[in-house]
Amino acid sequence: MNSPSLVIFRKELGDARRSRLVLLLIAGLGAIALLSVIVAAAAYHAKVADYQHYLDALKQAGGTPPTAPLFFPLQLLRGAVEYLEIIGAIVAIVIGYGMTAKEKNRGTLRLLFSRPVSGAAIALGKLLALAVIWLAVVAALGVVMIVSIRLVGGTGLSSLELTKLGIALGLSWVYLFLWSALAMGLAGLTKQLSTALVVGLILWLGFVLIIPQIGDTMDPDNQVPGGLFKSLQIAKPQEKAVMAHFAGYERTRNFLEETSISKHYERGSFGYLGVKDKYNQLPLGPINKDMWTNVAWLVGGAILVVGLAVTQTTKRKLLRKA
Amino acid sequence: MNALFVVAGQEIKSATRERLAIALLVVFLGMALVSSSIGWATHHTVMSVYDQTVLQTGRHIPNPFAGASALEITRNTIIYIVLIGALLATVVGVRSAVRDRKAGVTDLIFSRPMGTRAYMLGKLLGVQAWMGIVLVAALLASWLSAWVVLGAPLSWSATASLMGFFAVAWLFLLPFAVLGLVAGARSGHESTALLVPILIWVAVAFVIPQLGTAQNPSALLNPVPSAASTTDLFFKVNQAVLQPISITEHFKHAGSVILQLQDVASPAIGGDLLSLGAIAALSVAALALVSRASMRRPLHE
Repeated sequence: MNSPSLVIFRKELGDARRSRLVLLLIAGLGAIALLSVIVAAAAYHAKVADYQHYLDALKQAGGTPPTAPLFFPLQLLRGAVEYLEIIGAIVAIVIGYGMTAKEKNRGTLRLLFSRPVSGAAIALGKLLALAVIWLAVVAALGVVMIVSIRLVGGTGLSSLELTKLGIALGLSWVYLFLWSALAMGLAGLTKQLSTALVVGLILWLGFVLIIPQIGDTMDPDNQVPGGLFKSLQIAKPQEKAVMAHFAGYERTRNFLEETSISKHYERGSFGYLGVKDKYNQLPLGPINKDMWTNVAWLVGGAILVVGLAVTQTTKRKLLRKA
Repeated sequence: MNALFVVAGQEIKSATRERLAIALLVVFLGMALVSSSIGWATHHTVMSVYDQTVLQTGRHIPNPFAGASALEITRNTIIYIVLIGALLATVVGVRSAVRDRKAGVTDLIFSRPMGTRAYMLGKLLGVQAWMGIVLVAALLASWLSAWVVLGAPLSWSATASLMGFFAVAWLFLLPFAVLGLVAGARSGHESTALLVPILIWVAVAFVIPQLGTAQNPSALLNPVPSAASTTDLFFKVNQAVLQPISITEHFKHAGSVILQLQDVASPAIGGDLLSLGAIAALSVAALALVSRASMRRPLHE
């Protein structure tokens, strides 16, 4: 059990525990996740209060009361998932990049490669450490989410909801690990370390922000305040009939969104958490049926970047001069 | 004063040789070009959806795009400036500050009659001149692509609005350039110098607006700023405290008004310009945080 990979793995875990930057970034991520649940709960309570005022006024006027806002605790996690998607990815890039950058900065790579250790063994040890670090972070975030839903939302989660949360957290783990492994691969791929970081940030900008933003912008319903179809005063069946004439446009929009790994993470997580109304309160079977492609994209993407990280962690590449 | 312009001139020369700055510039110009195409395709589809709805329902429905500005197709440029422009300004700022430190010429520069403030101001002047060139190129790209997709050149008033918008964008990007410069001049590691301003930008673009409006982060990628969605005290207090520093939302609002977008809540932009100007002035003052000692510290990758 003392293979070079395991030695490196243990050393990396120790480094992460001692690194103030890593701990600070992870604590920040947890704080933002907590904050987003608080904001979502406050928004829900405000909505209920508005509804109550409206109801009181309506009762006095003798009108028919509208449906009360419904509370689904997992939907409070929408903001937290979006933060993991956006900020979590940056933190993951920094941590993955740091795996190689610190060795280069400290000059320990030459020492490491003077021992009978292959690049693949080093890469595997570091990737295993990244997987464990993110597993611990995601597990801690899960506890933060459950406790904050209990305290701020004022309710516990059923066993089905806990399972769905567990699956969504599993997707978060794969997603965060993917960005870290990509950054580690880039640090080997580029001659200059800072170039690796900038390239990572450009990829983050493109896949996390720009492509999903273009997809959202191209959605006709987002073009008019309050929604196009609401402003046209047409019901859902009519909306579907109209949009059937724009199947090509919708396919293009969907294709664009599907090129972003972040969108697959978002769709999968929103599906299991019931953020998308279509999947809210459904059993796992139908959700699994619709979400497996998103899960497959995420896992496939993770396998690809692990391949990149392993092939780029070689003596020739890491020891070349900038 | 002469030394300040010498530093600024050197900055512009260096930025044109910087491969990453050029790469980001290409991405930025590319997005300015596609922004109009995306805007046109979406606008065209919405109009077709409207025609189809009228045809299928047989009712008269008000046209949702009646009276829309020609500049509506450039609406995405607002968000590309918030996303790509801010990143570009930060990277150019960081690279500018670390360039001399990496080359080991800081000691040589400070052995001449050159104060730290004049040096940093010269760098800022150079970086902002470079950002000005980038924005003028983006303005031309937007104007030309609007001409191509609309089939006619923009009117004089629309052109003036577009120019006004890019002028506000220049002001908006200044604090990010300063953030990059200060981080690059003070940090012991180039990677930390890049990371810290980007994390600050993420907080300003996503976290602060969410606390005041209850909008989810992805909704904040909408070019039109999010209005406070609730009258709850929690959000009212947050909005009052955080609004002055929420510069991305100020820029989005000012940009939406200047580009005459449809869904803007209020047409007044005085407060937005005041906030952007105040933050820009404070940023310039923040250059005083850079000392000779910090510039002379060893820099690691």
